[in-house]
Amino acid sequence: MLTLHTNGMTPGALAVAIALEEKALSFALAENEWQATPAALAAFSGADELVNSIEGEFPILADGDVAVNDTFFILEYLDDAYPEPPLKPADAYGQWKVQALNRFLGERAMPAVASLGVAERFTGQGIVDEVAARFENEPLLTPERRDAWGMALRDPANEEVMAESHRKAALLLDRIEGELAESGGPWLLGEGYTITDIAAFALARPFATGELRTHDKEIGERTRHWCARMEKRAAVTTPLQLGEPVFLPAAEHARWG
Amino acid sequence: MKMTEKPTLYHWEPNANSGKPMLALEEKCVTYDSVYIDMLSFDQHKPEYLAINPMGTIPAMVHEGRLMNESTAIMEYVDARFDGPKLRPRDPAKRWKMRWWMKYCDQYYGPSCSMIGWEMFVGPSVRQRDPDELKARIDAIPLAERRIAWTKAIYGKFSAEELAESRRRVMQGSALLEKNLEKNEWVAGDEFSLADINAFNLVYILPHMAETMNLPSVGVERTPMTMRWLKRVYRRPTIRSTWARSRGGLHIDIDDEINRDLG
Ligand SMILES: N[C@@H](CCC(=O)N[C@@H](CS)C(=O)NCC(=O)O)C(=O)O
Repeated sequence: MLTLHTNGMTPGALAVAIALEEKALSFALAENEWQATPAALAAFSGADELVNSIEGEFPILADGDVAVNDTFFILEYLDDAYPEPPLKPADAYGQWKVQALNRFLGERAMPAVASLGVAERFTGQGIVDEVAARFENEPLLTPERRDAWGMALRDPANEEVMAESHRKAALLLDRIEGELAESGGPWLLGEGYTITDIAAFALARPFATGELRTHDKEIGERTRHWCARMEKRAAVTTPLQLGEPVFLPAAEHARWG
Repeated sequence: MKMTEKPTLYHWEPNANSGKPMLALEEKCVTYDSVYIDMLSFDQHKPEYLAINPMGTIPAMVHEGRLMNESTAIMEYVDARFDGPKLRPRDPAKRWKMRWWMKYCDQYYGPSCSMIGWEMFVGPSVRQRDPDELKARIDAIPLAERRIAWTKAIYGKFSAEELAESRRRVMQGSALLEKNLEKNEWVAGDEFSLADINAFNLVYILPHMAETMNLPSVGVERTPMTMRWLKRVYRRPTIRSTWARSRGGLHIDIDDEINRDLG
């Protein structure tokens, strides 16, 4: 029995839902209100890895007795545990490519997309201090997650964070366009559709729909077509109907790297 | 085994990110051509190296005409591509755990430790060079993130606040690893894996930083299980063969570590 636990249809949750559909795995969706994130996480407090995630609290995928987090590693887990149809190249170099790209997506792109999304979502929403304070004083969260929530709720459009996020969002759009040019498409790695298409799509889609925009950077031609190809996949259409896309504070921007 | 060409690994001292693929190759018994890139001479930003790895980071590996960077992804490649002992658990949940810990090391524990090392060691060891040369060196760094790192290290611009935060994170990472090793013989469970190689390359130095840097994160008192785990790793012959490629930057005696009294 598979259950996808989320605190909203964030890019990470969307990516996992798509991968589950691609694998034709039926799953239950356990969606929590974002305000209830700590309480929802408490159900997993027995596992150190689940409460010390640097990506953020959710998504978490429960698979029987096993529970796994971190979007990119959930995707890898699904492909390891349910090999058909394969969503990674069969050769070692192709696998390296998937992992190197996923590293870029997780380390650079995801924090940027989340910050830009949080600015759109929370600016001017008058989030009461009381909500922010609840996150900031939540003992179950790590100090950096408390900070991430506090910062997102109190100062969602922080100037420095916005500048850094625009820079990285442009890197994301450039990278996708570059990979498609290099591989010749139709997918990021060429002929084979992989978990990297899924992960990158979840992050790039808001720029294609116009939900988010980034300074001085238009989404490229190849990227636009690739997004459209993604949207046509049955395994993508279904999860897109599971809920409104939302943004929540994700991994912090690297302090050093 | 299929005949396959020898990989070429571009690396610095056999620790941190460079040490990861070095040790993985050694564990797989893969012979490789080793190219030493002297980070403190900025070899990694010179045109010859940028032609190989445009990101200007170390390590990088070339195999069968293809360039790879990102040390953790290189390690997975090494395990997938070559025969030899398996360095990744077969069980998907354990493999997930291996990857989780590698990310924790790569993006939380390691960078915090690295910031302290750069402030204490890397910065001071290049700072006295010609200021114009240093400026030109910084301008030649391709990645914005690395440019910032070098600028801060060279001009001593780490704030007290960010250093304190890094110290806190090293303490926190060490405590979490200890907790994991209380329940598991190896980082990802009951088998030695890439996660041990990854963690070793950053944790081995911590008992030595306890006094020199006033950072008591890993030691007999605070993290006894980690000290035992370190000993288990030090006993592997691959540490000796990998460290033999050091040009003098490690200053740790493997026999002393193996014989260390853990009370
Ligand atoms: N994520 C990369 C990071 C590589 C990296 O930043 N390596 C450091 C040395 S450990 C480096 O290249 N420093 C050279 C520089 O900053 O100029 C990896 O794991 O390989």
